[in-house]
Amino acid sequence: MNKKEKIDTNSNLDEKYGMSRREAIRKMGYAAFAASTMFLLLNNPTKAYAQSQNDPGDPGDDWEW
Amino acid sequence: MAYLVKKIEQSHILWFEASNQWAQFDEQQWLIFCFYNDGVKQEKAVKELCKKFSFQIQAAQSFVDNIYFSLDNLFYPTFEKPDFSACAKVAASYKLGKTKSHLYLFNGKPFRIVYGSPWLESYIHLPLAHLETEDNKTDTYEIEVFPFENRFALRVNKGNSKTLTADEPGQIKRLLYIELTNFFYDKKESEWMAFLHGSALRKNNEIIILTSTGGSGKSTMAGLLMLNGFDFFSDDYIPVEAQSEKAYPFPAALCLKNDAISLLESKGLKLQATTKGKLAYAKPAQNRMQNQACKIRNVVFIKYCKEKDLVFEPISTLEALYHFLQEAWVGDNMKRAEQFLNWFTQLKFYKLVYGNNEKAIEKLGKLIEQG
Repeated sequence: MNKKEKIDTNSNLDEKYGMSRREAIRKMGYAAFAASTMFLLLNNPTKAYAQSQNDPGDPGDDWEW
Repeated sequence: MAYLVKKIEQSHILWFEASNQWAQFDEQQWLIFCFYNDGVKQEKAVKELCKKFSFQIQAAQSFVDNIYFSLDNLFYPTFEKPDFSACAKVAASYKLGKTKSHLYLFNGKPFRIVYGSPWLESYIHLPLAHLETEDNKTDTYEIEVFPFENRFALRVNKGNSKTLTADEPGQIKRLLYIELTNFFYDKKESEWMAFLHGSALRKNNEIIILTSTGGSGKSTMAGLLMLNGFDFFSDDYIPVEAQSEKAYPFPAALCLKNDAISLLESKGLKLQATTKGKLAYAKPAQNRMQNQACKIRNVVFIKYCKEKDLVFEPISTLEALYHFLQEAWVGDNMKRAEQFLNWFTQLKFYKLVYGNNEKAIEKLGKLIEQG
């Protein structure tokens, strides 16, 4: 196991890539990033908590009191 | 910016703190990552890639450019992680209209849930209905869940302790479950290593985890196992504590859908159906619902397939990690990510594709007996 701190934090990424490329990712969101990358992404950090869809259906608008 | 790396089989698994992203790099991608991390300019990385792997220059340029760009996006992400505190201040003081509440008891602890809509009551109360108690304690732990500005909100102790909001009902239910788990076991959220999406069954003080995407047959198999000597441990949600690396039971009833309802009823499982008959819940037998935490050894990725008799085989840690992270939420800090990787690499993983229930039950029974 290896932990490192990335030292170079001064990249001006918008300047480096121009507005079009990074802005496109910004606007289209994570799905666009995931589709564009060449390595395998193992999770979706924008999505929280996978679960089964256990929707009981519409119980009606009113409760009986 | 921090990251974590561990070599598993022939790949490097990386976790990026800024984006909470897990990723898998092959040998060539890992080389480019090292160049990026050492501040090597792209032109030099392209030359080195060509030299080491006999790449064509154009292909190498495109490859390096893509990975450098992706890494910039992971170390300085433009996409947003889920934010459950959005509008929390407004939600904390929001006045609820008509509400309905139920009082429950688990692990000797009473708690009340106040529902702000009939749908939320139906969605959240039904799996917890078997915990309902008639003791009329007034000063008890209370959570309110309610629709809020086209979203959903949750307040603990009238918002004095905590208020959270979420876009989807499933998220608010999961946040509620986490709050309840903390309450049941006197823990803080930071003490959990991961929350898994799956069903867990216990036998001989061992548990088996069945995981997969929704609709793959894990709850059906959990119901079948309950009829064959296994005790219910958790359904849909399994919290794993960091310090002990143990799973803790959560008492929401097993939820069954569609054909599984008639199948399991015909085999003798006692079910409580919803009014519309779309879902049914199998409440855990109170005398067999033990509250002790349990170590996880085996994880089974399960899939029902009518055409297949039975496929049951071990799968590699690397393949398992990919499937597992689709269905789990891991603590998003360096300590938890590191702990998770160390824990995960000690587990055993299997793939089960089944159409023959009896054979699948037999296989899972043998697996748990082997320990």
